[in-house]
Amino acid sequence: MRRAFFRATAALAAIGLTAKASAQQAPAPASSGSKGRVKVVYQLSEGNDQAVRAMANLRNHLNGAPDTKIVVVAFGFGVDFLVEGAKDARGNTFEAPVAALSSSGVEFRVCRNTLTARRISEQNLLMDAKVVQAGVVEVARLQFEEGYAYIKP
Amino acid sequence: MADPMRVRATENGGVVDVKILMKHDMETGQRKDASGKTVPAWHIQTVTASYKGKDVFQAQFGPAVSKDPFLNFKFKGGAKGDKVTVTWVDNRGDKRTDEATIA
Repeated sequence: MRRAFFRATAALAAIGLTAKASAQQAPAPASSGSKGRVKVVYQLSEGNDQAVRAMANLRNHLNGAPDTKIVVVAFGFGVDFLVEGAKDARGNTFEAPVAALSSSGVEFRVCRNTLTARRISEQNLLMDAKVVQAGVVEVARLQFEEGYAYIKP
Repeated sequence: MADPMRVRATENGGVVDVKILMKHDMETGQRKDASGKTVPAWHIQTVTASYKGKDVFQAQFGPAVSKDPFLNFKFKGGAKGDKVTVTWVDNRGDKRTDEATIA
């Protein structure tokens, strides 16, 4: 009875050890690349209310981790806040917060497919916005090829 | 090489509206870094915009101008499809020239 118990615990301990060993090995290649800066992509596709939340999130993000490289990808209704004269529910424009974030290193990328589909002229976008061909492709590419983390506020 | 400017020019009724967003740290020379040493002044000193080889706008910038300055001006007599060229020079002699086609 007692011997069986010992055997069982030994077996469990062994499983635990191998599990721990494999767990330690697994993340090693991911973190060994000395990636340096944390990179994050924010997806904005739901209109100005989401953009207001995102502005606060972005500010907090940069306060907590000033070294982070942040790219905002806007498509669908998410491009609205980057159009000149856009206002949030309280009537404040987005120009000042976008310019402030932009000068602290945040990039704003807008989907050209959205602009075409919604007939928004590139000339009407804020100066800080840069146009890319497809928002979804950009979000996928940044994550898959450049190792960005994904946040949707 | 400094970061590119964003330049946008639109024509309406013979008047061209030019918007420029420059990427520059615009250090005043008054700030101190974490170790207490003064960060040397490094800011744009002159901005010029030209249309068909002729200056249509000139500005002198000093340390009081903000980081990443934005500039908007209008001039008469531009036509769609032509180019507006904008150049800045900073106090270290760095230069940056960018152009935009009038839309």
